[in-house]
Amino acid sequence: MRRLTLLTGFLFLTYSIFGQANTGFQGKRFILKTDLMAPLVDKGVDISTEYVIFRTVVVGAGFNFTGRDYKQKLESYKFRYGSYPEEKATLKDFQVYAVAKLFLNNAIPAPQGSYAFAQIHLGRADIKGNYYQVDNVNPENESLLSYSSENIRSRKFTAGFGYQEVLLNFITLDFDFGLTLGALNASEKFTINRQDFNFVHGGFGDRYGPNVYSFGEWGLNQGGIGLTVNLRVGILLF
Amino acid sequence: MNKKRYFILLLLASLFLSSCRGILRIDQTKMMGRKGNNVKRIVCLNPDYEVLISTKDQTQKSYQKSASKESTFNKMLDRNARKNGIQLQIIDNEDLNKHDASFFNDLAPLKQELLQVSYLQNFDNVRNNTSKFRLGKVIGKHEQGPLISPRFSYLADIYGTPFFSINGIATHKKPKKGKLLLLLTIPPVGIASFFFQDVDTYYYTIIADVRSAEIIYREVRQVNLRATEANLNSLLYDSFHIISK
Repeated sequence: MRRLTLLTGFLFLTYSIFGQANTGFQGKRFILKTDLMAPLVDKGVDISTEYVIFRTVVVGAGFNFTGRDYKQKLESYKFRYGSYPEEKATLKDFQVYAVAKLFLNNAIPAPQGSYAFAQIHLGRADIKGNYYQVDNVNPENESLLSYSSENIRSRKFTAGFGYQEVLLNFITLDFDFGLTLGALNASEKFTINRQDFNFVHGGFGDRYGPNVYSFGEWGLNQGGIGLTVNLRVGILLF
Repeated sequence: MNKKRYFILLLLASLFLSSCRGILRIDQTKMMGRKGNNVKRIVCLNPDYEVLISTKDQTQKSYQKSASKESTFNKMLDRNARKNGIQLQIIDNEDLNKHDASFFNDLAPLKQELLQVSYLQNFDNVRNNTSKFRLGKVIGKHEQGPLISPRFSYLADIYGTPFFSINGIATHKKPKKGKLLLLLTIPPVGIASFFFQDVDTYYYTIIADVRSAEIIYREVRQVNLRATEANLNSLLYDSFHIISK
């Protein structure tokens, strides 16, 4: 929340410094937006504000809540039962984010037209998942246990391209498409039967981050690399 | 993983290449570029709206479409000028009758002169400054603009302002061509590109000061977007915003 306050403060500061120098859309530079993909894909809410600071540069800040379910690809469970467990893991995420957009069309000023963007998300996540306890000596003792892990650090970085159109002189329709890197903090502990263990992503960490398609895990991070699509609707306020 | 990386790079590159981009070029005198340049009232000489449609074989002007859009364009010009504190007096030959001799005697020759001078002359050192024009630096300021005949200076007293402008829009509808790179990387978008017409829209403004007998401002914009109301409003507002300072 502190970060969000700082980002909002930064936006108003830039408004007072750069506000008069830029055109925006017919003098309107401040946009309030919501992402339509968030409830559909992430079972959450995404709200953001954007501000035109230069002729072709827009900065923004926002927050999102997600409550996405992930099918857990527990290989040891599949080895034993022939399929992955039906029980899904739930990841509840709260993140604040900052975005910067560079509009590529010099003839029509921001916030209209196509743009390149970079977006960084920082937040905290709560995970409720399952963990398959393997016992090679006594296989009958093997069991699927639930675990939870709270307040773990979550990060996402997205870069890509988008297009924004203004309808009826006050509604914005913003479609963007980019490459996302997701990361969940692996150093946190999680609890099974009141015992702390090192965090195990339980077969879904490779899908954390991108919202439409994941190519798999990247590096040593417990997060995925893949494609993200957003469709945001906004209102040009002032 | 390497194949995936190449795919991602190709995907992003194709999006970048297919994204709409535009050109904006402004040349103005130093007086015009100063804050408080005193351009508060402009007489706009018969704004033009041209619709050009190209097929594989030829390019034709659609007079019917041009005429139907001209009055809307005039209203947009007026509205966006007012929003920037500029009073625009639009003289449209559609609204004239045979008794409006002043248009044919004074303003039509002035418009002809502005077009001809703008075609034949450059701003004084525009050629020397060309290398300085980079992405983001689109406004050139010059000591002196192209010179027009001083015989039009009396119009400043008649119309109460020395500033006369020519404003126009030209849209060029090109034949439908698909984008092969998009077809290979994002097939649905690539297929759609075969059905949508490629349109270029041009907007130009020439402003002359008849007292000093020079063109003080010249602007041209090109966008590969349709001339929708939202696009034109954005473009016109920005243009008058730069003029009004």
